[in-house]
Amino acid sequence: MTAALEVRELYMTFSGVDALSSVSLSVPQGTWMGLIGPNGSGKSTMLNVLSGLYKPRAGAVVVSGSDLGRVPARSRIKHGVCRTFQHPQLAASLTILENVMVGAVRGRGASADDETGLQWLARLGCAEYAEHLPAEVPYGVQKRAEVARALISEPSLLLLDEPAAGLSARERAELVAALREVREVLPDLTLCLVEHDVGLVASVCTELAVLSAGKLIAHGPTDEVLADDAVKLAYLGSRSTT
Amino acid sequence: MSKKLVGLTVALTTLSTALAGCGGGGDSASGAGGDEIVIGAFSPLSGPAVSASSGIYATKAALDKVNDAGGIDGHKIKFIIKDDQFDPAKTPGVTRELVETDRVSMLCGPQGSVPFGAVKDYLAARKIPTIVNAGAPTLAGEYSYLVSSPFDGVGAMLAQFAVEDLDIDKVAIAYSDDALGTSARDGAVRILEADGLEPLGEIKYDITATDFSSQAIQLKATGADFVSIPAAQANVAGLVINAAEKIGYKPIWGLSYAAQNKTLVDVTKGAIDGRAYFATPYITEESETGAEYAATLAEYAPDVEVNSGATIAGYTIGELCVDVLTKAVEAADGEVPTSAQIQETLSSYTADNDYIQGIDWSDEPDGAAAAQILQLKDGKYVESKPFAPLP
Amino acid sequence: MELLQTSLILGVVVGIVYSLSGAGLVVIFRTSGYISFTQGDIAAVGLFVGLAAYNSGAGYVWTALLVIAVSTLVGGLVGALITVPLEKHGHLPAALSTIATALIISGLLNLTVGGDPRSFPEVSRSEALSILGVQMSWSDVAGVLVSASVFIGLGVFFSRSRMGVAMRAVNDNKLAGELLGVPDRRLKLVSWTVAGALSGLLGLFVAPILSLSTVSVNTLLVFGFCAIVIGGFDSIFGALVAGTAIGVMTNLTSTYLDPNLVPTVLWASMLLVLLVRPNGLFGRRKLVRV
Ligand SMILES: Nc1ncnc2c1ncn2[C@@H]1O[C@H](COP(=O)(O)OP(=O)(O)O)[C@@H](O)[C@H]1O
Ligand SMILES: [Mg+2]
Repeated sequence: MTAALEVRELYMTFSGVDALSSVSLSVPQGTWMGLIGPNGSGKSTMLNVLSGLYKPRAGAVVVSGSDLGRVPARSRIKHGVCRTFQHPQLAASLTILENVMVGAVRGRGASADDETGLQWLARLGCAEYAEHLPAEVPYGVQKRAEVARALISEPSLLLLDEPAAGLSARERAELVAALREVREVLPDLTLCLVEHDVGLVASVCTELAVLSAGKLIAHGPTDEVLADDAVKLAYLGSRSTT
Repeated sequence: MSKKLVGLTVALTTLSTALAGCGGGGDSASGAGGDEIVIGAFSPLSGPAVSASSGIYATKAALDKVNDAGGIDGHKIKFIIKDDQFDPAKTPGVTRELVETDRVSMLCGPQGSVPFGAVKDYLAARKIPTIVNAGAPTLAGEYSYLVSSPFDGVGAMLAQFAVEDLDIDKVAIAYSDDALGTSARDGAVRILEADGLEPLGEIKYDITATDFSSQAIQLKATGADFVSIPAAQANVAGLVINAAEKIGYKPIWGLSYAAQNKTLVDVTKGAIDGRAYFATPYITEESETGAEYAATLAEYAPDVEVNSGATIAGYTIGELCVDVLTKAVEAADGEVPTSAQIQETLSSYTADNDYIQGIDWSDEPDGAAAAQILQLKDGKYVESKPFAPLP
Repeated sequence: MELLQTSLILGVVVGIVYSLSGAGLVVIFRTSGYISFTQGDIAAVGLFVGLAAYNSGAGYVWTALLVIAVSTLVGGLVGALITVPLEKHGHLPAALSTIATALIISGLLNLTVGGDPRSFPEVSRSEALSILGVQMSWSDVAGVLVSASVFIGLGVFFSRSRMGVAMRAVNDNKLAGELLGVPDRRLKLVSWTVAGALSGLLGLFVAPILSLSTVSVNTLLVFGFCAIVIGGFDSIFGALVAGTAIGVMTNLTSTYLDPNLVPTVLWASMLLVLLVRPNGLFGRRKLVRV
């Protein structure tokens, strides 16, 4: 069976500095993989490459068997790749629900109607904000609205960039509950979750990949990776200094 | 406001390069060197105001006719027309070319109050006399001679016509808040007061406006049977009239040669046929002299609109220039007259002929002191009241 | 009293036409984020072609359809070939290109058809009804009804249809639009095409009143521009209310104050609205996050 996501020998360089260096990994369909690592280790860069915003210097990104090397960002949604942003990117003059529905314009869920949009918002616990403008709702709602917008496109590979960043403890708890709900509903969805909060990642992901200075230093089942000494040193060690 | 702005900007930016060639045109098919009398004029020949060019083509027709008949005492007239696009920012440049490069001895029929206003002082300083094709009384000066009747007199004549000839005492006035509009209004008020009347309304309009329904409503509210709007150009008069007729107000309209053309008839879709009167110092095609005018135009400027006030004004000015130059050549003993000699002739010139009456520049350099009233009837302008002195 | 009534009613009638001219601007603004200054000239092309057809015997309905068809085509072409491609250099070059295009079209029209105002056919001058003693022709009635349906149609399109919602998103958040695969180029072309059609439609109501010249529709767009600033750049409904208000206000100013004050009152109220409510009276106000 082909992997939902396969990354081979990926290199991404910014003015001579390797933000990603020889990264290879394979994620089976339905797997929820957490991508962790210290600040500046290349996690966002990885998502940007996967979603097509950055063009890698070398290497291949293969999603469900198709090489996306020549597929521009705007067409990747048709290949089932969708993402959210570290800082929510919602259209300011559209209501939360309207924003969600934009995900259905080109996504594979093109037949989705407002009902579906509301349903996703409800699963993510923010249906009550459907008719509000982004600027009128709490930050946590904006971030979950982005998740709903991505989900309505019926992705096979969902990339979430720090969905918990900037959320209060209560909002984090709501997010975790929401993600569990998503997992129930969409067992085939492959997820790549970039997150700082290792506890949160461990509570929803079965696999972890760890980046450090652009290199993949560990990849495997969550508990194994967390027990890895190298990870403890590189990640937890540097985390305490930031 | 915006309309002008857009229009002028268009003229400026898009057409200036494309049409630079046309501007310098003029007529150079004349006799040999020193024998020519060189005169000139500016006029829009391109751009948004190009429709105002009929006057200059008519002036040229009058001069061409004389040239074809051998010129003035053997001197051909070289008439140089420069294109200023009716843009007072361009007028000074082309006027300098005429005076300093082409060395014209006079200007014959340059078009427009605003463009001429921009060069009046320059021409006076260079002592180049001009017979102006424009109506604003402020344009008259030591070196600038007007032909069109002053609007004060035009307004007065229309009011007098309404009261005395049409037997109407309910008269309202619509006017624009500028020199032409207010002098026309004042003339009308003066006459009405002399008859013990007063206007039922003096309604102001803005010539750059897009919506004249407010004026229409106010005019209708006066209940006047005769509305005088003497200084309006055809397009503005058309908008005011349309707005009024649209709300069911259909008075008799008093207009002038400024609005006398097919644009007005076209824009109002002929609705005012029989109900529109025009005060004008100029002849019509229908008259005896007019037939000759029309024939000349058909031969020398077949494309211009015969029945337009502006065309007839232009032609009349052409005839006046010929007359003035003929006298100036006589005064110069048959030689080509200098600017000074032409100015000398102009400053003592009077005209009471088939084309124009009541010109006396020996007294004041202002326009014709006599006018007639025409009625728009079946698309033609027919005499309703013969030439008489302006009241 | 009759003066006031008539002023009010005629103000509303002309105001709705102002609103319609604002609507075309909103459609482009929504997807592209700038104002098009070409719409009046796009309409002029359609109107002159329509007039030529009318003069050679086409009936009013065919003339009207032709005007709208040509304006739609020209609008779409200007967007597709000139303005939208220039957006890659930013909004300013694109907006400037609309001015350049306007001047070019207008220059070509002056060259070909000249500056003479002409009469343009209208639906019908005959009286349709009378409101409080003010007679309305069929043209007025048609103008009001067509404008109203256009407003309702646009309102529904932008709020209910998937494409309408996407068009609003395109300009609001480019990054999200790109990653969600929103076909922004195509939507922009749709908006230019629709705006072209609206300009032609507007022209059909303006030209009989102002008479057709190369600048007649442009003259009116000034009011449309004010209408959308006052009503709110993103609000079709705002354009309707503000346009009507401007019609009434300018009419009252002209009747009771001074016709020469009309532009002053117009621009002053626009500035006032900008100062007090920068997003316009009906633009959705961005609340500070709590
Ligand atoms: N657009 C960019 N231009 C230059 N350097 C970049 C850019 N994006 C990321 N980097 C660099 O690449 C490295 C990885 O950054 P990033 O992927 O944002 O890390 P993370 O998301 O793991 O915190 C950092 O050193 C960062 O400075
Ligand atoms: Mg990051």
